Amino acid sequence: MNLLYACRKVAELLLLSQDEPLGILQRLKLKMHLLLCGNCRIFDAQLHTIRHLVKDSDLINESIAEDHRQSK
Amino acid sequence: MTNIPASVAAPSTNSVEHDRSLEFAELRPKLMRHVRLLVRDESAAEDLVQETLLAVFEHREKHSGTASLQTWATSILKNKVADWYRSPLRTRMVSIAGDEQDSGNALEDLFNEQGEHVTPVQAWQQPDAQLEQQQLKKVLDHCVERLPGLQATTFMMREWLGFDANEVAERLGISPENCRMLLHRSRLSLRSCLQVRWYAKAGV
Repeated sequence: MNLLYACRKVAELLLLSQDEPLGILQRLKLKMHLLLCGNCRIFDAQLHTIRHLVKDSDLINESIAEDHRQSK
Repeated sequence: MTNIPASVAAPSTNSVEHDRSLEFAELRPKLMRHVRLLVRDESAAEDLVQETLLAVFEHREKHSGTASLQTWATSILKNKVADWYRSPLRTRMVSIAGDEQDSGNALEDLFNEQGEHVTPVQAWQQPDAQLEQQQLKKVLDHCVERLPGLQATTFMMREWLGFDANEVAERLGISPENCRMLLHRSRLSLRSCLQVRWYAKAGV
């Protein structure tokens, strides 16, 4: 068993992990790789940034929508 | 119902009211642009925007100054779209011809044969000023709009409406594998779009 993932495989798993949980072994190997690889850490951070950009812009909206629903 | 935008947009003698009606008039095209990312059935998209405008109009006195009218209307639209997708009565009409079948995997451009990054990955600077954050959000919207076909729909359903990936697949009537691939591609496309249109410029 290859202990180390290539960056490409890591990117695939990081993308996958945005939508579903990874297996325990995958998570472990991923963590090991991220510990050693700056490029992949940044890639991971970028995916999270995209997610938060969509979500954060909504934080205020959420509470307002809630008010709106309650007022119905 | 159909006369709402007209009456909403009617000029008023009161200047505050007048500003408001201008805002209302601008609302519709903005909401339509937004909803088209999520709902590909044009008449359903129109209906959802119409219902949203009606709700905004009916509750307009409840809207306080804490958020722009557009922000408020968008959040109402969001709930309506989510409800629409959850409704079992909705006839699902998704055309996946063409746009999903495009060949190529964006990952191949990023990695060499050994699976290494072709170029160093550039860290993204967090925008600190609120204005900058808003501009970045605009760039993101633009990037989402540029996503081909169902990529935009799956991404927005997943990230904006908050459906999980299996739900997205089910609601769109596509296979989970296809859905995963669309999400995967949408994230890669958005990443490179943001890189080119925002971070590459901000970095220097």
